[in-house]
Amino acid sequence: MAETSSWFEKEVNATTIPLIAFGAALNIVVGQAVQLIKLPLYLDSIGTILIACMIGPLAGMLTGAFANLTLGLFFNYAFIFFIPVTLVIGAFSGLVAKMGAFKRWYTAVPAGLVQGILSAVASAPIAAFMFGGVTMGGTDFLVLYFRAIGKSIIQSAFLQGLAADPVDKAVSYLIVYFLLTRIPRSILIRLPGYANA
Amino acid sequence: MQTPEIPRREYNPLYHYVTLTIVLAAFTFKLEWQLFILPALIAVTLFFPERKNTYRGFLKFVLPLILIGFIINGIFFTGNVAFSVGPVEFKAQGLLFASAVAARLTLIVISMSFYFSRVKSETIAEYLASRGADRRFIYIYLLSVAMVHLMRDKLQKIYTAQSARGLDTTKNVLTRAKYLLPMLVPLSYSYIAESLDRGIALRAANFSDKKSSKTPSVVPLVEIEVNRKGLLFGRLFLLAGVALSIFRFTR
Repeated sequence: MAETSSWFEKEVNATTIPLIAFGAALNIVVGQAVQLIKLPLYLDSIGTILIACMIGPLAGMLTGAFANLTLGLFFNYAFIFFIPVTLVIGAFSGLVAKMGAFKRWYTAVPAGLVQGILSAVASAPIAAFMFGGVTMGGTDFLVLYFRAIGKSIIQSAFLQGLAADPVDKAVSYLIVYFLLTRIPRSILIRLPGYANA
Repeated sequence: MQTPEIPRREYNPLYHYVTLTIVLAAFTFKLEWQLFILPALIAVTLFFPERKNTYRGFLKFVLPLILIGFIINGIFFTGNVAFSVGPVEFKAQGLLFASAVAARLTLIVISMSFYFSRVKSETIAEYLASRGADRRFIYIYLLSVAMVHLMRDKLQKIYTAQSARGLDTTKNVLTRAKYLLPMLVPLSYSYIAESLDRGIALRAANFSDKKSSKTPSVVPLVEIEVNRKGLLFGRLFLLAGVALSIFRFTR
């Protein structure tokens, strides 16, 4: 019990709390940046991945959960139901960061691809049973296509996730890698996960 | 030195208990029961001035989702044909599944939209803190909400500056993806540095969730006055909802 508490305290303390809030806000704002430059991607987990790398998996999970909570309360309630997916993203990216995935671009990209598959697995049941397979995202036509070729709702939602998420997450991981290389060392050295970058 | 006066705000817990009960009903009640609750919920919300905010989000996001759900599931489900529009056949099982999803979503979205347009997020956060919620989580939530607005403004300024330097959104996807970094690096850099400074300030202020007599208590943003009757009726309402859910699964 004491060990769990110390792990939590290590990642969620007075120093890291404002960073977690920043990560949650970054997730939302990157969505706006993507719209501004008209990119056909979501990239809505960059803040979660960045914080998971800079602090740790628990902080990453909290970042994702708060980002989706804020998005849900202010923009679209659908985001609240996808909080479990953000927990998976935060936990996985924190763990691979500890293994050194963000030290080189060619290790970040495959980690992002695996992350995409995990995200598709986590989001398929939510999209299928909560929303009947339709989430009003840009990739809904894929659900329509998979349904048309005879796949079930859950299969269609999973295949739609599999078609979109790995690319999206690989690009997100690559952007986080470049962000970490461009942020001055004097700043990075003050972060708990400095060794991961 | 004078202590600043903390604003007082009344909070009626009945609202969140009713919202919680409706969300529970959306997941556990049968479709027939949900269709009974839905008109009652709509009728109640129409009496409040917040109805405009409540239904704006619903019409914008949920109604199109429901309609597409009816079309996709109606067409692609296997089963008996309920009706046909030209060569397109709509299956009864698909329409039933789409109805269940539609009823669930409508209940959740209307009840939550109504609650969050009626109660301010700071009031909810302070109420939760007064009921023993972890202050760190409350702070993360309030700070992230505040940061979103500031970061959006800053991003817009960076975008305008980058556009003046030749950022072109009509180029190919790869070139546009490269534009993302010159926008995100200055934004992240300044906010990470600012967050680290905020962290130092929090540590200096001995910010902690641990309830110790030695630790100075955090000054709340709003002093919450809880409506006792609302609390009692709210709890009864939720209890009734839980009992009905159990009844539905045991029969």
